[in-house]
Amino acid sequence: MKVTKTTTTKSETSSELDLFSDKKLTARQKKEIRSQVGEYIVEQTAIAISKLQSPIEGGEFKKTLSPLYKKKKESEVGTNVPNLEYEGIMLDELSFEETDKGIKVGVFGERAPAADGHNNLSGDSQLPARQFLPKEGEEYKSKYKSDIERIISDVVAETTSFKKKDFEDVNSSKSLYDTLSNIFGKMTRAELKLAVFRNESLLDFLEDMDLVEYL
Amino acid sequence: MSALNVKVKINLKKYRTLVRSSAVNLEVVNQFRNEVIPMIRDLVATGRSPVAGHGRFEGYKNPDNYPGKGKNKLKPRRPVNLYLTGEMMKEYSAWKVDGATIKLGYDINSSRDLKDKVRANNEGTEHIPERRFIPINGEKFTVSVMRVVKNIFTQRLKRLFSK
Repeated sequence: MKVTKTTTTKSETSSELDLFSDKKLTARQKKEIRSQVGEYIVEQTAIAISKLQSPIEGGEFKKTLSPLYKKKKESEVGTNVPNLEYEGIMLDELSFEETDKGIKVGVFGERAPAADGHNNLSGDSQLPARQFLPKEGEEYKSKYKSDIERIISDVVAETTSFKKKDFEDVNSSKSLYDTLSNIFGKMTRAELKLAVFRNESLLDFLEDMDLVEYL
Repeated sequence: MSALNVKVKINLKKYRTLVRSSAVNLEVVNQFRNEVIPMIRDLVATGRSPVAGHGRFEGYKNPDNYPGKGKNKLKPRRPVNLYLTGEMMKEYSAWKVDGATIKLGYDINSSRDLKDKVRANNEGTEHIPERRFIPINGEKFTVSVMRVVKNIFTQRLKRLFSK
């Protein structure tokens, strides 16, 4: 999942992620993947920030404020925690948008410059680093990458289409699993079984064809 | 009557009797309590709804009044979350309904005070904006919450299918 581009303007600070380049997907699958992955990244980014952590591999997140700003924030907001919330507008504007190759995640709106201040995607920021958006070539931490890959696998499993003739020669467990491997890709038998259970149309079809006994 | 809890049911076909009766066991319930509920709490703590389609919680209408200002502040003005004493979110839990169903939310036997607080915040009142943290009327949890749920059930079903 590569970061192919970053954008820094008065109304947008974002990182563009390529989710599809090494995958063969339908338009419907791409739409579903964009929606789910985008929502997941925005939510997990918000949680990481609240825990004063960067969601980016190798990303910095300074956990202290300057004495002057600390006092001001304590007085106005009621906390001196550097959680990137003062009025809350920047995190309200943390979102994602769809692109041809995947999504772009970022801050879209009046607080976009503030987001670049924390992330320094432009290279011009003098502020302490509190990075929550990836730069070109950077990646999210492995726990997020794993979950994103699982989201994509689930969407594929749940929406993969099949043809009746794919199953014409199935007459044993081995031939059924060979056919399922051709449809879903190389997986263990347990994973193929799960993929079938996630795909309601396929499950109904196998039941109608009396092939479920081979699962 | 408005909802205090929601059922999370996994879709298992009728001929998988073993799985249908055994998918939810004590281990799965504990995993829900130790992994799914904390994810819900984490999202709420950031001021985001754990229910799909609701986004960030609405801000305080009059922050000088609540949560207050100066030394009399009850809590920080941002993020807007459901934490004051922490009691309400602490009681958010999970329990088994049957072999394929878990319930998430609040026990119907909770105190009257707690139930009123849950409903008021979840659905809103004349004075309190709606800040949804329990799905109602067919709503679903967000992707992050469902990711944890799916991971738990994937592992459980893999173990059942391997027997």
